[in-house]
Order: sequence, then C-alpha cells, then structure tokens
Amino acid sequence: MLFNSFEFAIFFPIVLILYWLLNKRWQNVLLLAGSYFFYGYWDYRFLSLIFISTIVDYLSAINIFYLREKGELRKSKFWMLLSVFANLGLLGFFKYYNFFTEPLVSLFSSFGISTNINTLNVILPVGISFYTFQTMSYTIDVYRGKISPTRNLLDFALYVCFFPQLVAGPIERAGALLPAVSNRRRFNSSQFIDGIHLIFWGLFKKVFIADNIAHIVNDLFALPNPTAADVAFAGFGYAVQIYCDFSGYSDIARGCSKCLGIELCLNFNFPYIARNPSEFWKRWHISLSAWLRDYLYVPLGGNRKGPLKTYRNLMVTMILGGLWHGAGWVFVLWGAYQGLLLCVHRFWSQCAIAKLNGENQKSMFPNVLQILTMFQFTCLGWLIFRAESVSQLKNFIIGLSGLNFGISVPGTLKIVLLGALLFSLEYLVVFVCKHDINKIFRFPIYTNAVIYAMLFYLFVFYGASAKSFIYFQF
Amino acid sequence: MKVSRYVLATFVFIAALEGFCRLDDYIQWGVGFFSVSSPSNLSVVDDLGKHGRPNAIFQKWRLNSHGFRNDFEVKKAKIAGQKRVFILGASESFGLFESDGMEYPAQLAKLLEEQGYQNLEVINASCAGMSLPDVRIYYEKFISRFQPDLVIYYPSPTFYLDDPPPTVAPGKNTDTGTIFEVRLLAKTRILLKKNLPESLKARRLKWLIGKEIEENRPEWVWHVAPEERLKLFEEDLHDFCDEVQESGSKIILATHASVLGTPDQTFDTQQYLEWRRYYPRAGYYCLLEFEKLSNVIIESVGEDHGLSVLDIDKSIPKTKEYFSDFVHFTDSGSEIFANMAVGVVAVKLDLDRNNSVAESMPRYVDHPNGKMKSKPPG
Repeated sequence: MLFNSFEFAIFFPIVLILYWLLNKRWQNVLLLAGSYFFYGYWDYRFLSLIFISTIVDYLSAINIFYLREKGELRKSKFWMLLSVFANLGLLGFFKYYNFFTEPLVSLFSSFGISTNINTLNVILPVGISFYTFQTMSYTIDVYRGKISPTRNLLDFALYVCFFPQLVAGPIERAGALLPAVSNRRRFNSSQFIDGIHLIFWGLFKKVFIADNIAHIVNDLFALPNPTAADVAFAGFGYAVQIYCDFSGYSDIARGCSKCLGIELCLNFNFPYIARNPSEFWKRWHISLSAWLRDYLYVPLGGNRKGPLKTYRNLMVTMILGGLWHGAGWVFVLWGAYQGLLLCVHRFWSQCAIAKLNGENQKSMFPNVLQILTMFQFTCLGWLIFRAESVSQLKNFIIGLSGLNFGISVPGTLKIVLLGALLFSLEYLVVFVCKHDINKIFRFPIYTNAVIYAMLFYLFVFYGASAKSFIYFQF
Repeated sequence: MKVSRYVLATFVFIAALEGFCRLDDYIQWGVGFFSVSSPSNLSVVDDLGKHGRPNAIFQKWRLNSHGFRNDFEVKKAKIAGQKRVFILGASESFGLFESDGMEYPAQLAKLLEEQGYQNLEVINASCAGMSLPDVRIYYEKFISRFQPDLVIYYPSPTFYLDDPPPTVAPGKNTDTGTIFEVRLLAKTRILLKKNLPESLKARRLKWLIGKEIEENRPEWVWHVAPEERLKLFEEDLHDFCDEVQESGSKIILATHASVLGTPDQTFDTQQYLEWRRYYPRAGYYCLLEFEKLSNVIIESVGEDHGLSVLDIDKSIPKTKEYFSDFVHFTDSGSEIFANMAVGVVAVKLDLDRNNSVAESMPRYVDHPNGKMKSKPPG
C-alpha cells in the first residue's frame, strides 16, 4: 500500500495506537505482523522472497560468527558468500533475467547458434533491491567483525521488513537499526511530534509537488520531437519530481518510524545545493551511496591504489549503482555518466588550478556558480535516467541542438512554479535555519498549526491522485 | 497546561484549514470570503416548489438573481424579436460533473451561437432534485412570466420511485437558507466520496440500502416497474405539456438516459447501487424496466401532443466516456445531447441564421404525420 493512500491512512493510526499500548516484545510482534501485511497487500506471493532472504541471512550470520570464533575462516567465508549469492540471485533473477538473456540470445544467434533460453514475464517484487542490500550488509558486517549476529529471529525479521523503510529505503545498517528494534522504546512526545512534522513535509513534497509535476513531465518525455525548451523543462521538471518523490517518501518513512520511537538514517540532505559530484553523492540517497562505498568501492581498493585504479573503481561502482536502479541500458549510461563526473571532479580537484580556486571558496559567488553548474549537470543526468531508451536520448540531443525554444506541452510553466516553491522552502531551511529543519519544527505551536494547515490543505485538496513512488520500480 | 495548548493548537489548525478553504474559493471561484457557499444552498423549496436559489454560489455553480444557472441576468420582458429557450429538468440538466460551461444547456447555447443564430437566450432553469410536479408549478407561477418561446424538458422519471412519489406541497417559504456553513466539511465530503475505495463505497451503500429494506416489509421492494407510478408520471407529464402549450410556448421532450445495462459489469453494479441509494424500493430490474417504460411514455405523450422527442436514451452510449455516474453526463455525453437539440431548436423556433453555416447543419427527418424525431448528427 502506498503511504499516500486511503488504506495507509487507516492502517498506520491503527498500528500506532496498538503499538503504544503494548510492551516491547508485543510491539515487535505487532510491527512484524503489520510489516508483512503492508508488504503482502501488494502481492502476498512475494512474502516468500522476504522469508527466504530472512532465514538465509539469519542462519548465515550465526554460522559466520560461530565459525569465526572457532577460527574456521574459510567456512565462515562460505556462509558469507552463500548469503551474498542468495540475495544477489534473487535480485538477479527477478530484476535482471531478461536484461541478460536477451543480449545473450542475440549474441548466440549472431553466431548462428540457436538457443532455448526464453525470456520470461518476471514481475519485479516491490522493494527487492532495498531489502536484499540491507540483509547483505548485515551478513557482511558480521563477517567483518563489525557487529555480532542477533539470535532473536523475531528482531531480525523485523529488521529485514520494517515497513516504513521496506520498499524504498533508507537502506539501514544492522548496527543502527537492529539495536533500535531490539531495545525498549519509550514514548517521547518531541520525537513523536517531529515524526508528524516529517510526515506532513513528505506528503506535501510527494503529493502536492511531485505528483502534480508528474503528468507534465510524462507528456514532455513522450514528445517524439522535443524542442530545446521541452528538453530543458523535462530535465528540470524530472529533477524536481524525483527529488520530491523520493525524499518525500524518505521523510514519510522517517516520520512514521519516529512516531514508533525508532530513528532511521537521513537519506537526503538538500542534494541540489551540492557544489560538485562528490558532494552530491553525500547528499543524494545517502544510504545507497554509503552502501556502495563500503561494500563495493572500498573492497575494490577505493582510492588507495593509485589514480588509474581509483578512476576504475569509481566507474565500476557507479555503473553498478546505475544498474541497481533498473535493468536497462539507460541506467548503465546514467551510472557511467555519474562515474565520469566523479572522475572528472577528482581529477580537477587534484589539479593546481583547483588548488588556486580553493582560496576563493569562502566567497558566495563561486559557491552559487558551482551549485548552479552542478545542478545543470544533475538535470542532464536525470534526462538520461528517465529516458525510455537510448534512441530517445538521441532525440533529446537533436532537440537541444535545434535551439527552438517553443514549449509543446501546455502547463509546462507549472514546473517552474512548483520548482520555485520547492527551492524557496529549501532555501529557508538551508540558509535561514542553517540546515536544521528542526528549527522550523520549533516555531511557536500556533504558527506551526497554521503552516501545517496550509501544507495539509495543499496535499489533501490539490494533491494529484495517488501515484506510486518512482523508486518502487527499483 | 500543555494539554490545553495542544487542544488550542488543534482548534487553530482546524480554523486555519477553514480559512484556507475560503481563501481557495475566493481565488478559484471568486466566492466572497464570508459568503455562504454550500451545495445545499443552491436550491430552495417554497411556494414555487423546488428551484434554484437566487444568487447562490457554490464552486463552479453560480445562479443569477432569478436562480437560473446563467452568467447573465434575464429580464422578464423580452427585447423585440428575441427568442427564449428555457431548459427545465433536474441535476442532469443543471449539470453536476461536467466542466464549467459544458453542461448541455450551455453547450447548446454555444452551438446555436456558433451556427449564427442571433438574438436568442438559452436559460437553464433546472435545479438538482427538481421533480415533474416542481417543474410544473415553477413553470406555471414563474417561468411563464418570462414568455418562453420554447421549453426543453428532460424528465427524471425515477423520482416516481421515491416514497412517497413526488408532489408539490404548496405553502409558505420556510427555508431561510444557510446562514453559515463550514466549507471544510463540504469539501471533505466531496473528497472522501471521490477517493473512498470502490469496495468500501459498495459496502456502505449495501448497508444503507439494507437498513431501509429491513425497516419495511419484504413486499415493500419492487422487482418490476410499479404500474401506478408509471401512470402517475404519465398524467403529470400530460398536465405539464398542456400547461406549456396553453401558455403559447412550444415544448421539446427527451427520453431519459442512464448507464444501467452497460456491458461493463463492475461499473453497472457500482452505478446501480449508487442509484438505488436514492430509491431503495427499486430492485435492479425494476429500475431498468421503469426507465424503459418511462421512455415509452415520454414518446407516447410527445406523439399525443404533437411534440418533438429527442431520443437521448438511444443516442448516448452507455459507457464511462459519456456518463460520470448512473445518469449524469460527462462533457462528451452533454455534447451529444446539445448536438441533438440544436437542429430541432432551430426548426421549432424558425430561427434566422447566417446562410453560410446552413450547409453544415445536420439533416433532420420530418415524420410523415408532421411529428419530428431528431437523429443524432453523423
């Protein structure tokens, strides 16, 4: 069920009320049952995949720890690899089966070899990319000795499928979420109210901004021969849409979780004020970029093996990160594009010219220019990300080079208005409240009542009809 | 103290929401911040029966000083050479779900204008819930003073399945109108109705209908169209047609269209339940049969009085594209109605028009005995 749906509006208050009436053990039972119900509401059949992932990783972690204690490192490694391959196997089959078999079949037939490999109509289970990564991080951390495994299956199952973050993150580390799930939670009114604030902001961003922009952006991307203005608005519009959609979801997830007394990690930290690609990836989908850094980039060698290998590691990490988002060449291209930006930035930041510029970092002007420039590159990346195919990208390039500034889709300027609204609010938080959104929450209670009445009114009466979150398809 | 702060903040929140509703209405519809604006305030019941309330406003619905849904004022005395067409009916004619200006009377007015007919007023004197007895009294005591040249009446026969059947109780006006209303409540009701899952809507309707049936005997429910109600409808329709013709006006009738019987079973069931909510006595086949037989009555009354009858029932396809719900039209449904009416209106009123547009007019067939049935264009 979607966060912005009637069903969730009934489900969550019921869970919340019952939750705070129960003691800790029964709270976890309630949350687990609720989480399975939440996920099964989409398609109960895919609960089996969560069960498989849960059992495999629960047992793997215990065995890893036990074997490490005994000094049997090879066997310990076996269990770690079992967990990784089981999770990647699930992900690979449900997400990438056709992506890999179709080119394989074409390759074989180009050599005159006919194959019996059939493409399948495999339904992508919602959230599989998130929970498989989450559980893999658990077993890998146990293997690395960072954390001890839990022997409480109930707590572990809840860690895997905690409903606020189950289907679109944040990808939580076991070191943070497991103790939160295992420990007793006490009702904290400030935390609860902060949670309500976050839910409101999240719904406002998702329902009012993202969903209202969505149909215009879809129309722009559906144009067969877009003009330069269409392409520019499409990129800008999608940048606003995907940010509001995804960060809105994360805010709602964190808000719901806070109301339950559990803290989730920050997943978005005003990414569009990033001055360079490296900073962007420390602000955008923080949980995924941290995961890729810790479990892919660093094991590959990170930046410890010289510049060429660093660039290689960056490209591999980002290409695989792109592929994580979807089984399509556009995602690979987008990943490669992001990798290229990181490599170029790394190269630039190590040049003498960049070191000279460092003296100017304190003045506003270069920062603003950097932010605007980075934002343009980000919008270009979103054009690649959202494109239906490589041939559509070619149409975008043709459109951009045509220098025709006519707008083909009515209502396109709404994108500018909603984007301006979003950036004004972000400006308020970043520059007036010094990045601390809690300062807004700390306005006088009656001021907050009026502000939240406005947000509530906008997303209830002007929100577009309930659309799925973009990141559900990943 | 802390609790009272939160309680007060909640009141502030709700008051602010009400404030934003009013601000929104002002920005979107031009409704005054402190004006009364509610759906129930659009109609009034008085010695003229049920009709539009003068100067009422609610969202896109704005009634003029006579209670007509027109954006111009209508003087009782006509300008020399001016022709007047009055549309009478219930919510289907008043317009519920169409975009503003797309209800069929407004589309008809636009079409007549586009086709070059000058000096013509199309006045929408319909009102949601206006039954045939209401229409008759309203015409007799009020509309006739405006010297209509033509009346188009789109009856809603299923009012006669109500319990008791429709009558007009003459009497003084006891309806003072709404003095103050909470706009947030009306908006929330509309929103909930729109967004409630279909399964819950259906359950709620079945429960409400079931409750009504339980309060009565089993025989209370009709499984076939009740003859006495059909007879009553026929008598009232005859009386109304007499009334209009005696006043010197011409009249066009229309058969009543509904979406019942659509091949889309799910939609059919949903709409049947929505409709039955208003007439819990009528089972599915009763509703279907009553509609069918009422239309036969409308055609027969039309023939008896020498009137044109627009066969709306057969002309509008029974799909979601043309029906927003069981009987109310979408913009497309209203468009078909307006297109069917335009030629007949022109002929009935013997209107002057620009010859250059004459060739594009759809052809209509004269019935051999002088009565005309219109065909839909195309």
